[in-house]
Amino acid sequence: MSARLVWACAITCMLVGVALGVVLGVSEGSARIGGEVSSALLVIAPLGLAVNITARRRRANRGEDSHDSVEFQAAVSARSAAFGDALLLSALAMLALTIAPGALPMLWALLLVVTMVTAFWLRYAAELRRLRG
Amino acid sequence: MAETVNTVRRLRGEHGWSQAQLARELGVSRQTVNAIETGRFDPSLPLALRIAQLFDRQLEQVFGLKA
Repeated sequence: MSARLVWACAITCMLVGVALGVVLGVSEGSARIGGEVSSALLVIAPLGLAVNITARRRRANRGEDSHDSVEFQAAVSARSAAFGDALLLSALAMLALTIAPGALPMLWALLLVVTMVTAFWLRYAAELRRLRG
Repeated sequence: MAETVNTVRRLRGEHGWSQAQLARELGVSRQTVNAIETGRFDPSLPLALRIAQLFDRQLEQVFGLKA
């Protein structure tokens, strides 16, 4: 499937999602919530998929997806280090929830995920810089 | 850990290849070739063997331990 076709499909799905959101946005109650969820899914999922496919193809074209490449080794190293970070951050989040039980668990969970992803990318960038020079 | 040395840059020069061309032949990124040549990255054994094979050399003629 060509890149253009992938993006055409993704944009079509996103437009359908936006249209669905507009149409169901005026309804009331559970229909509205269901419409908003479907609409959000129809926008987020194809966009994420298209970005993922494009990035994978770009990496493959540059040889960055090869297990022998510095990019792959940097990712493996960063994943390994980020696992340790994730354990530490989870323990800290649990401690924070114990100390401040009134805080929103959802907010803590979101903060935890964002911090873990950031920690991975920082480690990946540092490792890649070290290897590439 | 013992440091390694290699003759990849010299061999590539002898063949008149660019880093990008060698990277394409090996199926890795150009940055990988650059990192190997500058000694920042030790290739895996299969990749080292592929490099030696590509230049028609024995592995020890391409890679070795720093004296």
